[in-house]
Amino acid sequence: MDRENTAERPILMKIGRALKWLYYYPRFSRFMAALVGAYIFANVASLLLYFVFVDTALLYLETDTVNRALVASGFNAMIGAGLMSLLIYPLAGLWVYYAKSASRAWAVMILPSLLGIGLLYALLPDPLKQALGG
Amino acid sequence: MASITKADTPPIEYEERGFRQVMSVVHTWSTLVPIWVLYFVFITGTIGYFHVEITNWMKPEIDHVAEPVDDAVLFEHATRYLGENAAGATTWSISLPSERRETSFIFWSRNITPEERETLTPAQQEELRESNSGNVVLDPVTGATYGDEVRATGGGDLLYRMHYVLHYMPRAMGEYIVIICTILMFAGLVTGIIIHKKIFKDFFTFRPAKGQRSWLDVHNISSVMTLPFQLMITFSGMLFYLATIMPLVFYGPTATFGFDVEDFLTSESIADVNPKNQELIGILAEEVFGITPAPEAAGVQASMAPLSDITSDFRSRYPDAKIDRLILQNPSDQNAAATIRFVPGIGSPAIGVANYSAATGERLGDSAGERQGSVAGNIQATILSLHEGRFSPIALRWLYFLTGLAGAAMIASGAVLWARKRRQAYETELKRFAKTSAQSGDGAADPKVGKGVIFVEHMNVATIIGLPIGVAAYFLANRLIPVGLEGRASLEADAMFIAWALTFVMAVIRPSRRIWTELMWLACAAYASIPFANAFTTNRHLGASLPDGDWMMAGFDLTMFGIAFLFGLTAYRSAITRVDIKPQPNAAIQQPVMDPAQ
Repeated sequence: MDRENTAERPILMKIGRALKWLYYYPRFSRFMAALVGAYIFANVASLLLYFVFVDTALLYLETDTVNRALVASGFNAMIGAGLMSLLIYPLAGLWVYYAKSASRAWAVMILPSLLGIGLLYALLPDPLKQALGG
Repeated sequence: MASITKADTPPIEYEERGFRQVMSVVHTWSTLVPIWVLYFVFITGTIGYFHVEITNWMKPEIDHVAEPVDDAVLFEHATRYLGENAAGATTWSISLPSERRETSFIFWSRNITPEERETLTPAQQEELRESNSGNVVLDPVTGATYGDEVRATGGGDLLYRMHYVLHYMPRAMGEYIVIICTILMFAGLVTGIIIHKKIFKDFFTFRPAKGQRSWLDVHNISSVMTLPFQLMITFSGMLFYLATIMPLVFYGPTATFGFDVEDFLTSESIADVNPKNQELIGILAEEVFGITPAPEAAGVQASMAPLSDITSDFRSRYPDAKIDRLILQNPSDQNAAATIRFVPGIGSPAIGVANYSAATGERLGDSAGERQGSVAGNIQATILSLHEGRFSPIALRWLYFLTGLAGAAMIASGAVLWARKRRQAYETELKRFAKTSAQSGDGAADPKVGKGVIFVEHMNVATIIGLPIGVAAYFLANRLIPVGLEGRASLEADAMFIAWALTFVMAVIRPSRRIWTELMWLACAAYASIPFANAFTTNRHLGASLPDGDWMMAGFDLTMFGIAFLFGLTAYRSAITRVDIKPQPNAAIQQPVMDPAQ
């Protein structure tokens, strides 16, 4: 009996190790959601905030020369969005750990981000859309 | 043998935990992982608030200037030197002595004109730049310059630099490590606030000699009392690296107002970007930072107005402002421009800029340290300015120093607390094991402290006390390494890390219940010996610096004695109140770590 148990142990240990990895996978997934998912979310949210902060009337003004007012407004909006991004990223990362499950955390980080990317593309001035191949 | 750290520990199921419990787990791990790097960053960053003073102490060959020097005298010496040695330069910069730096730092450089950029090869441009640039430290009283007689040292600047790029690694790698640790620390602070149910009560609660409870109180007090500072310093630390952390947010929007981002990122310096980007940078400088561009050189020689007239006009307008330096563009040209860079004073963000015509002395305008009409920009500038504390008079600088140390104490107590909790769990398990063994009489597996806990305990003592010992070794090396020795500046830094590494060895080989006290006595001896090393190797010891009113040197020596006293006092108190634990029947079981709070 003892001999049988001893012989089976290495296989069981291998299975145990594999199960252990599966057991830790949700934690790893949650960690990645906090690291990568929250980062993507923070970037998209902040870029959308840029369009809230910037003077959009100047942004869509078609002109061949450099618009001094737009440069100033754009820079300040960029700094504002940047400040917000540094708040959004850690807070989104923390929320990931409070989500009911890792898959829900990923869903909340990625789905709005995908929508946001679409919205960002729509908000881009035409010359930039053309530069991006649109 | 069962490991106490894993046995009976329920798995972390976030779904089953409340918000505070989840945040508590995140708080523990987000701060434990980077904890020793954060401690290093806090200690070196806190020392950095006095980096100028430390550099002065580490260069004792530079004479003490007893009386403030008139601007006219300084500018006469500086312009004479620059005229003789930097006639081909297009920019002269002259820093003005202050209560922190008694000498004047002068540097000069040459810009490459658009024509030269087109006609010369990159190597020729570089040679032109190199041959027309340099720097020197000037004695404002005599006009003498300091050269090889001044010992080579990293000074306080190296310690300050370490807090954001670390050491012995490429700059980018150091920056990335610090950035990641800073983000984790910010998450740790936010979660720390969330898990505190009784922040107000914690403010007033300290129960000494209660072991783990005392450490928790130290952790709570040091974090709650200085919470606004810790939040500010961490957030502003991230803000410094906004472009690195969030490159898309930083560079992406610039494309919407015309920047060629690719050209900007691939150019070696701002001077090398394409003409459109040059134009946009010029507009930003004017519209956002209020900096008027210097006019092009006329190519016509002209005498300059007395520079002291320019600084006195500026001082009459801004009596509270501290002038950092005067920068001359195209000196001795008809269109020469003088720019005063200044710190506007307490409450004003950023660095201010005032523009004058150097040829006529006429005032052209100034930014007064404010960004024009920009709320976000002012918030950013204020936060960054708060981080560096540039505007701080000496008393406020000391407050920065003390709150920085409180931050280090918060980190250190958190690290010790983590290890103490696990050690206490081990002791509880040990008692249970002894009881069950006595009852059953069989040889059940005895509990064992996890290797991770032992590692953390060693790292804690070797970092919390070892790093200050390393810093003391850095100062001692400055005095003990021969002045003319090649590579002495890097040897000083090596001495710091070797001394620190030796404390790790001590932590491993010495009994864990004694190591805290022993290292604290060692730190006490190291700091107390610094003023003596200064006295034996220079003539600017306390016996000379105090009668001369040389507070730059005397202040440093006295501070070293003060730190030695504090280490000695803590070592003495922890030694006399140490709880001696009787040897356990099982020799394999380690003694609990001596607790300095007991």
